[in-house]
Amino acid sequence: MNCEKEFEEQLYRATEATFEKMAFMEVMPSDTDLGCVTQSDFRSSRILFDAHIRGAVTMFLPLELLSEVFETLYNIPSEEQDSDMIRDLLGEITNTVVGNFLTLVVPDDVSYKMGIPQFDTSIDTAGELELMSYSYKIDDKIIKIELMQRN
Amino acid sequence: MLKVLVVDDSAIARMMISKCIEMTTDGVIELVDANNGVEAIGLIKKDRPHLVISDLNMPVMDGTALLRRIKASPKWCELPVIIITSAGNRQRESELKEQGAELVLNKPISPPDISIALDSLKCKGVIQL
Repeated sequence: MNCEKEFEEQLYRATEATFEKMAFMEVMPSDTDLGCVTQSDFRSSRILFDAHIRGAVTMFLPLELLSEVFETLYNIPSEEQDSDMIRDLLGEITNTVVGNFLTLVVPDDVSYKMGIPQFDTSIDTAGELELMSYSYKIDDKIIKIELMQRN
Repeated sequence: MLKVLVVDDSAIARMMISKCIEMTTDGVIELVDANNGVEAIGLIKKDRPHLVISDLNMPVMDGTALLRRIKASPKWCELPVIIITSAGNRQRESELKEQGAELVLNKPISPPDISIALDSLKCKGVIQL
């Protein structure tokens, strides 16, 4: 299996496991290309990692989906949720997806490090990193995950 | 009553862990929480918890540094620590256990994960429920 194919499969498994366990939501691969996500109804978060591969994962999630996950977890309706709660949840989801992904792709005898979620994902790193982009469908909403790997 | 200190920089994660503990123990437990390792050290001195459940990746002082501080202290080295992380492969788990962690659990955690962990510590005589 080539590296890109393996990363694609393991990123899907990590995302699927996270949403299933956290919010009982099913994740399906999607062909929808969201392109550059700039819409105000999306939120994004990025985590840098350093393992036998180095890079970053950026997650773009619709605000509506985050709100639904929050409500499922805490039974707090969207009207009572604030932006800090949503940001915190997004960071926790990203942290869990990236950790699970690295556990799947990094050999068991190799230790690795992950950064803390960053919410300013506008920094252009395309020059230094190889970019792979994947879309998934969760409850009829499309999310996008970018995997950047140092060349 | 068992007093548990939950340490995580994410309020969501603290809520999630606390909820799992409450569901597992029918609420017969006292919970305190901290945002990072430095806050946790302060609460360990002040509140004297019987168990610490900590995340790894945190600003200010991370879970590994907190674990080292606890285990290096003659006064607190017997305090059991459970590490909860999303970044835990076999190598990392083994390093954390060598540093004194009782258990390493992977995120996202669920009530059964917490129940098994607490039962395991109870069987070892590390905590009393």
